[in-house]
Amino acid sequence: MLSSNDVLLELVRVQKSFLDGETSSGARRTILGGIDLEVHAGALMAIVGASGAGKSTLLSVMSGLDVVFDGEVRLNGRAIKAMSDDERARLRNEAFGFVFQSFHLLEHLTVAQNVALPLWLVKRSAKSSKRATDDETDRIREVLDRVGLGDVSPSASVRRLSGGERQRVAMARAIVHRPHILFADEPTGNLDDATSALVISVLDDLRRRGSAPSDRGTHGDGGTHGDRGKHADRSKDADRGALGDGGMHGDRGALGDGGMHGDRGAPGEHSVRCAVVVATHDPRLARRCDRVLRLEKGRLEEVAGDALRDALAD
Amino acid sequence: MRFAMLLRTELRRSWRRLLVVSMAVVASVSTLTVLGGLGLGVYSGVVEPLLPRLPLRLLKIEPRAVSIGPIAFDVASLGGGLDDRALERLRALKGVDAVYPIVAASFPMRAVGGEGFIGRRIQTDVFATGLSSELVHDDVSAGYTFDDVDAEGRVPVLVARRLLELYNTTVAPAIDKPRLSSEALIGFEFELVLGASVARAAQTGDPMVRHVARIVGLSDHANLVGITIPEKTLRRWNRWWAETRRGETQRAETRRAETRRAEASRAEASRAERPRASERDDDPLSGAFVRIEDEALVGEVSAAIERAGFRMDETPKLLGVAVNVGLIVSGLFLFVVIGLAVLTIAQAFFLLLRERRFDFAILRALGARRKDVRALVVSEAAVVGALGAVGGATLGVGLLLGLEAWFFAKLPRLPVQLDHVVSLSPGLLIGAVGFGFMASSLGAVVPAMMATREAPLDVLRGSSG
Repeated sequence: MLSSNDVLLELVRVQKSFLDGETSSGARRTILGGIDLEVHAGALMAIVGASGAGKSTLLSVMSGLDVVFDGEVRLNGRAIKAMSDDERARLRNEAFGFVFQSFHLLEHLTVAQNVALPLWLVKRSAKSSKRATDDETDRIREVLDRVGLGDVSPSASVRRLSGGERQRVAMARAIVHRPHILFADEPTGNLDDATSALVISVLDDLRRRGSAPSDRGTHGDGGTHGDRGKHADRSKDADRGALGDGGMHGDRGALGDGGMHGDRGAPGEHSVRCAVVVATHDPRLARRCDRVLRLEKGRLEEVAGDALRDALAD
Repeated sequence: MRFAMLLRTELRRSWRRLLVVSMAVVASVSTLTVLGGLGLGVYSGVVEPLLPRLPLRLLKIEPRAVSIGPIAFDVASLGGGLDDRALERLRALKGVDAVYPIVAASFPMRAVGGEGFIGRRIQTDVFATGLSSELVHDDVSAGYTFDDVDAEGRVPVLVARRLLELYNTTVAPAIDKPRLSSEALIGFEFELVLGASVARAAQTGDPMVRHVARIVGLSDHANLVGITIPEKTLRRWNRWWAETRRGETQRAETRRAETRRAEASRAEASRAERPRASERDDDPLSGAFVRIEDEALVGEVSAAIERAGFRMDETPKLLGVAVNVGLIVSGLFLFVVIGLAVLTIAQAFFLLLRERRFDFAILRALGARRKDVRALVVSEAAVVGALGAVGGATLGVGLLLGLEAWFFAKLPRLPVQLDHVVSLSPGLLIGAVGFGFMASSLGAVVPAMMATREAPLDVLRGSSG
């Protein structure tokens, strides 16, 4: 049985609207119309939808970058909105990872320095800081290797990298601190097909193996394939309509079948069960996800089968 | 937070902009150092030696005089004169604690000696004044007294501190003799011949008495153009001179009376006036020191003294005004320079942080707290400020040394001894460096706060759409 702790992030009736700048009447345009959602440990979830549907906004709300909304977003049961600014900053630094569509690398830093940024921002005591420094170089090399940049010099300037390489540096930065949830906003949006395929495989690998480089080898492919099967079943179950409370419980039940436990590795072994949430309109990426949710007119619907095909064709 | 790593990369990245900030700090700190060093140096090296070092609550009163061009006439008869009765009027003024007369000698006096210093015996007329031992008590060197002629018949003498400086800067170089220290001067003895003058021929019946004088201290209260001896000694000598002269005059008059009987009665009437004057003990006064009860009353008492018809020695006041005007002008200039520097620093940081707002948004999205970003910016400013301040202070010291070298090379010989015209006190340098550091750090605070005010998402959305 999966315990309730496996629900990492929970959205409860999240609503958000903007003043519509295109009308002079001062009308508000609803972007998120009462979203309920649970993100479980080890999930690979895609949010699809047309441009301007609110995918990036939803990711911002989920990640605590945007706290101007109605409803609640809870991380491990605690409302993010109720946290202080510093607490949310710590959350972003320790629990979350971000991959932005435009990479958002610091151009004046090297590859290694960009990847190390989340580690640099962690508040540590002097003693643990020394230990961390010793560990840091190995860790950076591992994540770079994992995103396929093993042959790129860590001391190279990110300015010299191609778009695909930059996106993979951004991904390395997003997982170097072993987050619990990785948010990726159109991670393949600016990339050519070959690079997109590479990024997708990295995300898939991340979902399968967790965010911790040290987890390598502790997760069997069989286990994760099993996961996918379970999730496919769950998607079908949820295809009934918008995710309500019942739907979420149903999700939990599907996950509770234990597929994700395979990801966690042997009991007592250090492991990070990383959930991945991507906002995308890339069909190849969406197809690799356990769950695909379509955001349209402020509502979030789980799609699968033909509906998924149609949604991705849009 | 691996702050140092981040700070290092940011400093390396923005060095051009930070160089502008650094230059502003260098300019302001060097200006502060130069103006401060020059101001302090001129004050301690030039103004202070010129100014008598009198306590603030001690005023010097002079007889009122009417001047026509460079020629001044005493106007004692007009009410501004100083005599013992005038001193009583001064003592009666509210806020006056004590009045010390400066008694002038009513007879000529000659000093003889100097072999020990200049190798040959010289004699010169001297102008002597008498001061209360209470007033100059602190100026008398240890082991000496300034009360009256001592048991061995030696007269204690004080000389003006500035007189020694004048000797050292003008006389000593002219006669190719070494400068004198105050220690060397104390205990120096010379002969005083009362009633004798090099310039004025002695008249019949003039008495003449020799005394040994000994310098017992240097004083800012002492007569600048002569010697200062105890008041009671000089008053006694004045009485001796008057009485002796009166006796001689009486004898001469008697002799003339025998031959000019008709005029004798008129002469006798005239003589009858003099003893009365002497009995009043009216010694000639060249001024007085007025000690005020409280420094806060200086202005009030000064005004009362002037209203009562007395004139104060305004040299210190004029010098003080000149110094104050100089300080105010320097201060205003400094204020403008510092203000411009702070504005430049703040503006440079505004521009710098404006360019980096996107980077700060990324840092915050990745988990940096607002205070982390603010600390990063202020630390950058502090590093730049510290470097700029040290550079500015170094430049300032160089400029000051150059200025002093130029000043001494170009300056004609002055009647005062100038050891320095600039001051490089550690306090000034520490203050200047501290100012640069603080100005730069504080100049970055507001821009840093503004830089973290924006929500990171708003900034990032601006780029990612």
